[in-house]
Amino acid sequence: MNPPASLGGPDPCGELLVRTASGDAQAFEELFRGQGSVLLAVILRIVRSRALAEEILQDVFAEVWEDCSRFDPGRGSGRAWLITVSRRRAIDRVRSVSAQRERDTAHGEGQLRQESPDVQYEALENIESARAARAVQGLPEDQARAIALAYYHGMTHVEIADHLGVPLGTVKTRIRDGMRRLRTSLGVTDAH
Amino acid sequence: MHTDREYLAAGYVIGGLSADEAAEAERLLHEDAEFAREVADFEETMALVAADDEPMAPSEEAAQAILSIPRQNILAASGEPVRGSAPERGPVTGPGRQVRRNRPALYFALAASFLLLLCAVLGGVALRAQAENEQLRETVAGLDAEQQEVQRLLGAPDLAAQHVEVGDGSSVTVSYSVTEQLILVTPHDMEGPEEGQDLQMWIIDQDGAHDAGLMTAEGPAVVTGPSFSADAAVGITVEPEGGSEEPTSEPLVVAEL
Repeated sequence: MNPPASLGGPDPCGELLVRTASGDAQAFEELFRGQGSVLLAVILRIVRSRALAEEILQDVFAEVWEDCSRFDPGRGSGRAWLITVSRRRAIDRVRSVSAQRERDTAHGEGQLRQESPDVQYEALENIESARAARAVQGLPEDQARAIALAYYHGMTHVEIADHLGVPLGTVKTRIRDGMRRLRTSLGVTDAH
Repeated sequence: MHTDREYLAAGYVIGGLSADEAAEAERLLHEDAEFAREVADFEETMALVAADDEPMAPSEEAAQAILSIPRQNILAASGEPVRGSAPERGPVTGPGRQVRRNRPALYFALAASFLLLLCAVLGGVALRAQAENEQLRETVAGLDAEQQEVQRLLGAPDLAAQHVEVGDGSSVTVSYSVTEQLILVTPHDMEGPEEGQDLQMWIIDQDGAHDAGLMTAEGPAVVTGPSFSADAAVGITVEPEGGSEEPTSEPLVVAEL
């Protein structure tokens, strides 16, 4: 395995982003061909609707074309930046749809329910998906759950504490320790 | 790194910090190189976790829409056809973003807007009719109850799940808690039954199959029915409309708990 780009390994994805930022359409196409399927999987894990995921993927690549000069090769790898953008857009969309549904329900229009991703159902699905990932499997269950609820479901740490019935400090500890363990097990860097 | 800063960096990457914490993380990100490095490391960590996902090729339609983004933006900005692999990018304008989506997606968006409008009109009519109003209240109350059950399931200490492939490309996830006596069945890409038929869930134990309620292929369903133990199974069959007292067809899915 190549060393992670953040440790100075090769970063072809980052190089393509830099070229894309200068208006290189060929680099943009290579970026999509190389990363599109990975990003779609990341988005789909959050929204669980293929049609919606593909729409969000279009938004992500529109942002890449229009605004990828925000990517700083000195700060991290290209793929990490792309995944961060994809995850943020997916979470924003789920929140938007969920908020719309709550407004509709308040007005007695529950018809949208079956069309909308339900964040609670998604949380259940994604916890299990996260467990399936090899790296996450190695985490204690309470740490994996706290990370999955924040990362895939977009819950605040206060909300996670409420859902799990544990103090906020416990959630913070689980997230910090879990992320530290993940980082170490994936060889990104040693714990500080 | 200081423990609190490590938590801030982790939380900044996976989300969920409070507003004050997020502001502090943003400040540190710009002022503290060590913190910025910590954030980058955590972002790389989550990128590697994502790499564990099975890649999923976008549809041809989505691929074409995405690959046309540079050309669409340039056309919108300049008003002239542009060819070549590395064109100068013009300023991104409103029209550029408007043409970003493919035409079918635009049609779907228009259709969805029309349906929303229709729902609003129909909803208004329903609210004027007392009987329908009552039914609406019951529906909303039912949704609230279902939400509460899902919340209970989320917080269950023994929450577990089984994912079962159906074989035609569809699948079902069964999330359950024996402690809470709750089961949630979530279909993925499942085709609905034909006219005059329903999908029916069953809890299967050593005494046989017990009716656990109807479900649709479109969304999750909370199982109602007899109590169950950890060695039970959940099955789904296609039954005549309204359901049957016993299964009358081979199960589409059986998920062992």
